[in-house]
Amino acid sequence: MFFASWKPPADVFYAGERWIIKVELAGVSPDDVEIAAQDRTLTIRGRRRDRWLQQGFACHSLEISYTRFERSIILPARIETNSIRWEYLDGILRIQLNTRGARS
Amino acid sequence: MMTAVTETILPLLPVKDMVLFINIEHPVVVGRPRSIAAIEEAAGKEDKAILVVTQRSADVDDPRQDDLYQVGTLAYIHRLERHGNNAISLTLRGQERVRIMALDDSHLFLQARYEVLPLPVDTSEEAEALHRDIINQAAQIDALMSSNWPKGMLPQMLQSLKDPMEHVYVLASLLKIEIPEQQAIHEATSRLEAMRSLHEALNHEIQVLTLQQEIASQAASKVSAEQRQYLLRQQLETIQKELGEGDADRTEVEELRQQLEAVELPEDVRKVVQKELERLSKMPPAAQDYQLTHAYLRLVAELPWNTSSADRLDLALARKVLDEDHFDLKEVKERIIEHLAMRKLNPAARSSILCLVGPPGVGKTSLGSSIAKALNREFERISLGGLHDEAELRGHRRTYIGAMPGRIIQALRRKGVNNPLILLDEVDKLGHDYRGDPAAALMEILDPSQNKDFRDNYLDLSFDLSRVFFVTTANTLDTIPRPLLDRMEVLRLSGYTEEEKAEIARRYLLPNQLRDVKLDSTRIVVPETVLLQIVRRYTREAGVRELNRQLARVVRKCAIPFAEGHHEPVTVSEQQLADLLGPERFAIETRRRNFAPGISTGLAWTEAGGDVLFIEAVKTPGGKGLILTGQLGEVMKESAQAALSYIWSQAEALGIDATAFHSSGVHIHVPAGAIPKDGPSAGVTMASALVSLFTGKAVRSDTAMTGEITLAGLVLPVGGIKEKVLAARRAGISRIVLPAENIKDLDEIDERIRQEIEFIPATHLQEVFAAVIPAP
Repeated sequence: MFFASWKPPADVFYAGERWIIKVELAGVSPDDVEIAAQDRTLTIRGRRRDRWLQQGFACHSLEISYTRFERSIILPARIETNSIRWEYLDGILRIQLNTRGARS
Repeated sequence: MMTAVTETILPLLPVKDMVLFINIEHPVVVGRPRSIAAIEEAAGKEDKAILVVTQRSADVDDPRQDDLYQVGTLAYIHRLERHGNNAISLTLRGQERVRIMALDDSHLFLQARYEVLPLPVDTSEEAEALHRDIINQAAQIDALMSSNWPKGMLPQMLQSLKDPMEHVYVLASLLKIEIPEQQAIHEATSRLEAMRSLHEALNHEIQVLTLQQEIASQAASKVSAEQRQYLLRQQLETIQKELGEGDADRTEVEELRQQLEAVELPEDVRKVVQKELERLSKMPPAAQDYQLTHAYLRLVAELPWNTSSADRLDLALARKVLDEDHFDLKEVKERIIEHLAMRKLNPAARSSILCLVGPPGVGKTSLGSSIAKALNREFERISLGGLHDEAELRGHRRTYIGAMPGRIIQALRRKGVNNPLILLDEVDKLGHDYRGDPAAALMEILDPSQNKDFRDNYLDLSFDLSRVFFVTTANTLDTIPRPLLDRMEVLRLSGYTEEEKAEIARRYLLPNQLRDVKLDSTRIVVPETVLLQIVRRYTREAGVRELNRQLARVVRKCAIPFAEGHHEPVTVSEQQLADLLGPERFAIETRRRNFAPGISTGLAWTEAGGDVLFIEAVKTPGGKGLILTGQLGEVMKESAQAALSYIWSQAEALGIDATAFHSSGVHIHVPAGAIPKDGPSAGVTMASALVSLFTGKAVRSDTAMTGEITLAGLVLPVGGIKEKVLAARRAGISRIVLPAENIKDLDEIDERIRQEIEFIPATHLQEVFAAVIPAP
């Protein structure tokens, strides 16, 4: 119950030094997502807002987390910051990047 | 800090009993309408943000600004669920520390303007040290926690977190820290301050937990002390076994079991005993019931269920034993011999229940033991005098504390045979009170048809008393309840005559006294005439107790010279008696001579034997009616009335002037005035005195009389003839008028005495008057 804050699930694929990382971020506006890389760590953070609000409706129950989220993925080699590209489609954030140097 | 909440005014949720820390998710159940409204407002917004502020006091239901702490938490609603009872449970996640700037309570819900209160990231060596110690403390607390706490959870959780403040917040919200302290940690202006507060709180918590554990372990050590004792006992048992001593208590039970198996018990008794033994063997020896059950079983084991002594059925020998011990008492001895004869013919015959009645000192009790000796039976004496508790005879129920079997069962246990002779002494002196009537219990014991199944309250098993030879003694039958008397065979021991007493003194008492001073009859000689004088002048009793005491005095005094070294035999003479025993205590009662008219001699029976009494009647000229004095009982007064009425009615036939009854009253006095007298037997005596009074002719002074009268003038039989005759003889009376029906009682009297006295039987008063008032 403590620290069980929202952690979006992620898949990681690689081909040599090329990596594809998919993060499930349904309902999150791309404007609210920040992607950062430092050394071998890729961090995706942001927050989800409830944008589907309708006047005159009261909340009955709430299961989707509209909180901030932060997800760090540690890769075996140094990330090339310049190589990061991302797109957002069907609720999935897709990140492509390259690493360089020896895997540790 | 990205994407800060845009609004500067947010709904406010006041909470009790918790402080929401940053990065901590906390479940909350909300029920207050204002709180629900605040949550609905927050949940209806894009970012689900809400301010969570702790109340200063949990008692306030509708808090104002003053009731809330100033520093709260900006939180997001993470989960929300409604319940049927209008309550909402939610999970809140703390995001930012905020200061509440202004509270607006004018809406359905509280809302407030706030200002974010960031905590500076200060690092110091002290903070570092405190942080480490806090981790240590957490480990300690984790170890001290009670068993339902998941051990190791806390350190593990802390390990998964990096930031020291996260450690602080987790510990602060997870452990039992008071709300003010939690709030202090929340409000801290630096990490160091927060850590200090937490450190202090954790220290307190550790102390409490340690103390708690100590208390728990104290309780545990109490239990283990008992366990220790148990173990030691077990060891002791083993050691005893090794030494061949065995378990004392168990062997006690075993011993009892063997004892009980050795005796032959009736089937129903055996069953009860088995059950009790079973109970006993399961009981710890310290149990309260253990001793009781043990004592009970011991009694059962020791009772003579089937043990009896063999009767000696030698008639000649029995007769010899009885004669040796007691003089005379022919009737009683004969009855004993009869009993023996019956036993001889039918060994299974029921034992007799005899009642020996007689004045004190005639040897009832010693006769009891003689009978036992003659029959070769065990002898047990139970004195019933003054006994007034039924339980004494029949025992108490075992449920009572200190319960005991009754005296009968105790006697049987002591004697160890089921056919002893039990002498129930003084059965006429039984008392009774609220505790029951022992006479009623005696009835069961003495009834041959009931006492086969005598049930003692304590024993609670039926015991056969039918083989017990019961002998009871009494001084008088008057006080024995009729139903009880009905169950016994009454044998009367009347008083002894002077000659008999002298004989008893010669044969039994004197030799016994001499034996006491270790001298024999050749050393101190008391001739028969002297014995007779002692009997006459120093005693007046039916029995021989006083005589025995007087003889003891004589013997003691005569023994002095022997103690001083003389060896001459001493012969006691009549003249010496005054020196030895003092002046004579009783003048020999001589008949009165020269009677005036109106005096007659009567005979009375007392518990101490017979007595002579004189009846004096005088006319009281000018008086009226009949005056009676001399402590007369109701019956005696009535018999005086009857005598007067009879004479009045027969005045003419008796040659009396009937007018005399009108001109004067009559006073009858019976000396001695201080001794109460009662009974109808003085009827003829009073009638004679009255006739003598009215005719002016004196009654013969050598004649005594006894007999009950009726208004028709009949003379009815009376009791105690033997005692009366003996008393008359002592007084020197030579003629006795007695009811004709009492003539048969004269058989009891010694032949010699019968020769000395002239007996005149009478059936009607006319015959009495003719015999006692001589014609001029």
